[in-house]
Amino acid sequence: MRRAVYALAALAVVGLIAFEVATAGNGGDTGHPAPELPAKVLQGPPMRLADLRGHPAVIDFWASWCEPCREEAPEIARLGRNPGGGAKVVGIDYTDREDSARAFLERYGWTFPVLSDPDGIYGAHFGFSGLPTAIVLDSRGNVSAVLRGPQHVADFRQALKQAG
Amino acid sequence: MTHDLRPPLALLTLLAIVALAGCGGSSSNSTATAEGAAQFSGAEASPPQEEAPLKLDNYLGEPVDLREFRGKAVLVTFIYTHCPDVCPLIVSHIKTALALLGPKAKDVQVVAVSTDPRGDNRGTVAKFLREHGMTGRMQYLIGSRGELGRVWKSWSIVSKPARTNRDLVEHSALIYGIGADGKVTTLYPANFKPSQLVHDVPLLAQE
Repeated sequence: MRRAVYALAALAVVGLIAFEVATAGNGGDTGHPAPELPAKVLQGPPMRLADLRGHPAVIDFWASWCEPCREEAPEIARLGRNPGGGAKVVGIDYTDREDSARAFLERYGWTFPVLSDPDGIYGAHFGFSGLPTAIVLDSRGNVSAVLRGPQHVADFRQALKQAG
Repeated sequence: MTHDLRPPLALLTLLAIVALAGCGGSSSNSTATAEGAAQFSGAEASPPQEEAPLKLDNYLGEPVDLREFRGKAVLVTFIYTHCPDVCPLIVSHIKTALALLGPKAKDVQVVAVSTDPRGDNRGTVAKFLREHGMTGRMQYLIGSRGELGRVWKSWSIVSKPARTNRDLVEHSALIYGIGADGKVTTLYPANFKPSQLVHDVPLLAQE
């Protein structure tokens, strides 16, 4: 009987993993103004939310210790070099060491502005639960889409186009 | 320390997971069952269960007994240091929650238990905590396969080498929320939000 209960619990754990994967898609909480961005700069000029208004934008939360972020890194590097349509790209490094983050930027050749959120407080205001997470804003600074997990450059471009 | 499975805790795990799946993982899940009961953001045990024994050495070689944290909220999780995805995210979200809690962070003790007796040792754990800015801010308990295996069993944790890559470990990635009274009261999946802990820690500290 004890073994049976244990097996049931183990199966439930497997079920939980499947559940997490299933919820790793895009969509979610949209249509509201984005929270403010962190003031700490890792690369490029300071970037506040007001600086993004007037164009659609991608705010990408990542960390150097996050393996799926490494998978996405070349894609967002390509997007950053040519976002198209006047769109802007901003990275936000979540709960990371600065030296590790700088090594990541150099390795993947990111050229767009990157801010730092060492305590994760700004990330918590955005309310995401996994990394990487890209928040797509419309030209008024409202959240248009939430892209969870590694994306391809075409995914970013489509979301930016829809944000318009 | 008992070597037996503790069915109430296993059942609690199961019930909590079912509750989570049913609520769609929203950050606003509240499953209090009695009028006037605390409204937790995590999945709530009904009723709360006595915590299973947990006595191991930390990575500094100091003995740690979970019972010594009675009177505080305790978050217990099961991770390993070279885990590529879920474990660093859990620790980072806990770090965020501690920052958001501010002075109230003193009311919670974070305890991680290794799921990898082969890869987790004093050196790798010290490096992991340093890299995640958590040195001195959480307990990280390690041990032999036998010592850890007994803890995994009593906490209903599954841990085994990954089939695709033997260097990786497939393990239950959960966070148990324990009240000041030593009872397992809430459960969080690996994709929890820091705001859930910020909401629940003060309530757990009052239990």
